[in-house]
Amino acid sequence: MKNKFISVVIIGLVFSMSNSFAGDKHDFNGKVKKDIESFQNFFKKKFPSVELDDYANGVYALDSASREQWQEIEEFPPYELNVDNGEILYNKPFANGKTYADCFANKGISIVQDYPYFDEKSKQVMTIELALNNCRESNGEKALKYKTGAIADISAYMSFTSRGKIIDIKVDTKDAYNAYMSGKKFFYAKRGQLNFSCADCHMRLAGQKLRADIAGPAIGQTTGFPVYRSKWNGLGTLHRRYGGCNKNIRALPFKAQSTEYRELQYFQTAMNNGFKINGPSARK
Amino acid sequence: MKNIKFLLIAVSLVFVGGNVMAGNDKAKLQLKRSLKEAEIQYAQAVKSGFAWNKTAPALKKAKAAIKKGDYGVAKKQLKKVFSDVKGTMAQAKMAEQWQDYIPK
Repeated sequence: MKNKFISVVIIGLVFSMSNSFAGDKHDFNGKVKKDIESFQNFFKKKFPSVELDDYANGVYALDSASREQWQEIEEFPPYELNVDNGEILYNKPFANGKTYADCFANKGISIVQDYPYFDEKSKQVMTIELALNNCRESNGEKALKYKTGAIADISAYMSFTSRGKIIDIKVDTKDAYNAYMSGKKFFYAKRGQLNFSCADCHMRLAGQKLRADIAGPAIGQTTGFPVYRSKWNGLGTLHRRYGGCNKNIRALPFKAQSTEYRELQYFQTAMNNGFKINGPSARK
Repeated sequence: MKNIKFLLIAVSLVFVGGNVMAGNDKAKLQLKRSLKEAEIQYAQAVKSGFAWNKTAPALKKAKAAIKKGDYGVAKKQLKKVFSDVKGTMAQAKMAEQWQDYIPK
């Protein structure tokens, strides 16, 4: 009788533990989904006349005058040469005869919507730029600089091949959720001498003028990167922009592809789940 | 008489000069100590991930001013560094409150 009782207790414990593990897994995605809903609802309430998909066009979804200028620019996209150069670089074999295509699923075509993802092996957020450099290094090549130049061109080409694909960032495990939460914390924490958070400019003040420019909405921001910025007179990666943002609020910027920026990108891209990739794009 | 007067002036000048130099040395020593403390605190600010981008230049300016003997400038720059670090650490502490923020 006693043995029977013990075995029932053990079975019960195992059952409840496995349920709680399953519950945990379900919970991470549930929590992220809840965040996405409240994030997107914030903008739906703030700008009721703007279609959700239109946020992929950044500030041009909010300001008609800027939109007209931007549409004219997009008629002859300034990033076209970068995409062409990116394609050449992407297909150029390394010294060992292999190419970037050998490092990626589907030979690297139409895959940007799956980036960034949380790599369970290395326990870190993997962005497309980091994956490109990992590919180079594993093939005996030197890593490229992360903010501009060849890596931005290759990334632009890869984004171009992924246009129209739906972003679906997954946060499946506890470690992935921790990275996501670090990114979320970064997004909402005030920093810099001006005491601004990402959310201050790109949520609370989105659509309002900050000096001469209108602050773009946080939603849809990651879909169009890398971007050709008129201010840069060239193409740059998302982390280059993050660094610029941090400098604007007088905060010491992190290095491109630092853990902090990758986790921020992970959070921000997760908020854009359901959006289509439209990179590369042109911005002011 | 003239010689005695001259001697007295010379002695007092040496005395005052010595005092000024001693004072300067003391100020330099104090500023160097402050600089060291500022460097330690700035390193902590960087570690927190909330460092400001004008703090490092202020620290650099303070260092150069001490070297140059421009103690007024050094003092001003060090004051800025300490104030920046204070703000930085306050932000790092506040950041925890935003962990579970959901926009309304």
